[in-house]
Amino acid sequence: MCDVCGCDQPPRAAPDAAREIAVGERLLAVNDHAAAHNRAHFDARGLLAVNLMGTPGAGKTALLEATIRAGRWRVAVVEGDQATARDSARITAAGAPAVQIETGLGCHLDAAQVHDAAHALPADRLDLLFIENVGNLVCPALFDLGEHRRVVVTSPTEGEDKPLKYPPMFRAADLVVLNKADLLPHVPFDLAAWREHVATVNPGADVVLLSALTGAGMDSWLAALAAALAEPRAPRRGTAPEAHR
Amino acid sequence: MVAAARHLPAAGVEVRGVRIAVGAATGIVPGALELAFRAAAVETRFAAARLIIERVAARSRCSQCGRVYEFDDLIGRCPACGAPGGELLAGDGLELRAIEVRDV
Repeated sequence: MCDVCGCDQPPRAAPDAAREIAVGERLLAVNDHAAAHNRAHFDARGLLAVNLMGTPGAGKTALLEATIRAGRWRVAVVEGDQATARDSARITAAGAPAVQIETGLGCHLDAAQVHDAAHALPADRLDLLFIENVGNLVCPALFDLGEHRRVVVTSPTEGEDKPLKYPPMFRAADLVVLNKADLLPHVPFDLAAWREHVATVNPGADVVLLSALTGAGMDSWLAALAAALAEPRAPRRGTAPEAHR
Repeated sequence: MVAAARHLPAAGVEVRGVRIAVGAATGIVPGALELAFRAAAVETRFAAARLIIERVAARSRCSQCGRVYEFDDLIGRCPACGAPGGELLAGDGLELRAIEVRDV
């Protein structure tokens, strides 16, 4: 009989009947290990890996097409999307090798996926590897893929408040690109407020305004890439919190 | 759960609970974790186990003034000088702390 209220339920186990097995094991270290492995792989081949993140439709793929067509470096792209190989087909058409990862229900890329994809690319003959993440301003920010730089692409039609609404994404960025800058005269977007919001969340982030469509501002973007390529590949500080899987 | 199972004796115990520590800066949503745990526990030794989630505060060192502070939002502004972010010192981990069992 229950020792609390006298009902027919069996008595609850006395607290002293339970014991604890202490564990103290770090979970999710798996992604960190895979990311470190990727970074070592990239470093050994002297290539710069850039994790390109942002909303769907911000123009990530368009920016990559324009970068490839600029012809400055040997570029390859790992493309992440929920479905279809449309983006990798665009990259291939622009003249660079690409591997498509279809994540299905997954909302981000993880380091193991990038590892497998990278093996299909001619890593020994590359200067730059772009990893175009799944379009999403939330969870891609939480996964270290082994990249050296993180770039967030956004656009005026998304509104100037996005840095405040998605802080981890903008805080994770080394560089924030405002694409579709040619739309600025035509849409209600407060550029000064947007700059302020980026600085609020991430005072250290560089900002580039450009239009992948018209080519305006592409020089600044290519210069930022050139600067990153010229810098020694210092390992990223631990800015990538572990993930939600 | 796979990690927890490795620490269990093959038989003779009933799993009562799994205690994990979740850093506030991990992006892990406790409710979602709980749901996933329940779903994964069905018809396993963990079916009757409680998931006990302990929250570990996020702690940063301010990049401007050097102060070490705890925070509980997504921006983590320094309470002294207002600078956001800083260098994350704690709260970015997920740890399996212990398994509560009862001998049967």
